[in-house]
Amino acid sequence: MSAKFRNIRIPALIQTVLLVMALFLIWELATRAGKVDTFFFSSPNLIGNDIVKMWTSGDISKHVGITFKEAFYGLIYGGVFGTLCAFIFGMNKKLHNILFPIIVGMNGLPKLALGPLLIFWFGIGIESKIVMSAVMVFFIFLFNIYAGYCNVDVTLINAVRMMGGNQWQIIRKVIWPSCIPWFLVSLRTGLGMSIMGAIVGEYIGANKGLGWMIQNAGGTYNITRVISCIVLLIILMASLDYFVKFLEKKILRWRPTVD
Amino acid sequence: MTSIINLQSKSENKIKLALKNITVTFSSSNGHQVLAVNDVSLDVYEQEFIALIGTSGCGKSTLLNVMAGLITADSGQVLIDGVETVGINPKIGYMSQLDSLLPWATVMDNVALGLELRGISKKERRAMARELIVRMGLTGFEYSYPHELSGGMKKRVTIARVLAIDPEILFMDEPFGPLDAFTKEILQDDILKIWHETKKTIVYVTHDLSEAISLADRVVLISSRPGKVKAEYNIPLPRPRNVMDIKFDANYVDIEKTIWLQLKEEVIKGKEGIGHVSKIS
Ligand SMILES: Nc1ncnc2c1ncn2[C@@H]1O[C@H](COP(=O)(O)OP(=O)(O)O)[C@@H](O)[C@H]1O
Ligand SMILES: [Mg+2]
Repeated sequence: MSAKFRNIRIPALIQTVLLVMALFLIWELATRAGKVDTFFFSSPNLIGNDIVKMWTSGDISKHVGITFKEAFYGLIYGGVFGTLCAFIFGMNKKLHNILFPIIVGMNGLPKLALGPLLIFWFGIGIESKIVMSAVMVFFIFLFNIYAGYCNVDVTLINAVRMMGGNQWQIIRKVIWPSCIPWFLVSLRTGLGMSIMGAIVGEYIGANKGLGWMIQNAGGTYNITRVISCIVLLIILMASLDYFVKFLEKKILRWRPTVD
Repeated sequence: MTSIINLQSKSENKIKLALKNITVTFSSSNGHQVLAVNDVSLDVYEQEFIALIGTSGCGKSTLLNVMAGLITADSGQVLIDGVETVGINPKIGYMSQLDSLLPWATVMDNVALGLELRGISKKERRAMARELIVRMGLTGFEYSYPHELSGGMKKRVTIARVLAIDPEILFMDEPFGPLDAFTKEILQDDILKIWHETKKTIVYVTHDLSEAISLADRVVLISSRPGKVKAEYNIPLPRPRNVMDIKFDANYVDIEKTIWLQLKEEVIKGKEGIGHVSKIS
């Protein structure tokens, strides 16, 4: 290929959008040509119209808003609690040795199994979804940040100790900053997990939210609606991830970059 | 079996730091007990520049860690200013063998770290840090992160950081090991200057004989593992010294030869510990 062509730089985001548009175009053309049955697979045109319809009727802001709220609180509670526990286990190996096997075992359970219990304990409203979301997020933060804690460079801790630093200063000046990359990884993974938790919670029992919409539309064979919701979900996740990545760049300025 | 070339020097000064019969064993991960330091006694005089030299793995860092209070010896005592110390002593500033700058902190924040830990106000500690940054020739890099600096500059930041807390005793563990020869000599000269100006007691660990001789008042030879004091040598070279020229002093080669004869035995012994290259048949 000519050097000139390679020098044209298209931002990655635009490339992604172009790719998606191309796929949608193929899909739409295949539908128009009668190669794809819209009853089973819908079509970009139908989906686009459906999303516009949901937007004007206020369904999007209402249901996406609910799911977002559940996921947001789930992320906060799960994240804070997971981080806290990771630090407690890091500081207290004895406690870690006793409790970690139990926690690993609990993480092995499918969280879906908690559904009926959570509905029973916290009701059909938004609380049970927040708890479901928080539980799923909790493990991610706990395991990642605990791994980060164990990876702290002892040389740095000793340097701070030699300069007269106390336990609290060691945590603030060394352990916490060196856990930040792990925290950000948890945040990125946890973000997806929190929305998944909220949706799963809504599947089990709800009367609003994106998960409920998908469940409801699926029950009435409204495939267009199901796919509209999935598209909305993907857009929501991708933009949140973009935001975290941006945050990461800002916060991790001190790290040499790979590229 | 202590050979002494010359008895001038700091030995009439007060004893600043003393080790009495220090023994350290480690239990390694495969369950073996490793005797790292065996019955070491050592006096370090006030304002002395003392170099500990020995082969790699002979227990030099372990000795510093014991003196610093980072690890506790199985037996023996550490005395500072005649008082037995347990745990970390604030009179000691320690430049460790490994890179110990906080990678997420700027040069300014790294240099000011010790002051911050001591609760000195932001304005005050920044002013003090800025002064040291200028003195160490780091002007213009105040807000750079460690990964943006060269190896030599990182060492300068580390020196500035330890000087900021103004310790009476300075420990330096192979501080310039990984640097190129030229950068090394420049930094060694800087250390000599700082030592002349501040009159600190310096304990300098190295495996480089010429470095030990060029810098120190006294060189202590540690035997290969388990570490023991094998010999001590006073270095009667004139002060102030210039690291780049001192090698051409008439006495330098004699001193080097004397110490090398002893050190060589340890190097060979140490090599036997590592194992040999087997013959290719
Ligand atoms: N934490 C430790 N656990 C087990 N063995 C250790 C530990 N630290 C040092 N050693 C052993 O003690 C010996 C002396 O180590 P060190 O003091 O680091 O040597 P030097 O600094 O002279 O190269 C080495 O054989 C090393 O393997
Ligand atoms: Mg060492």
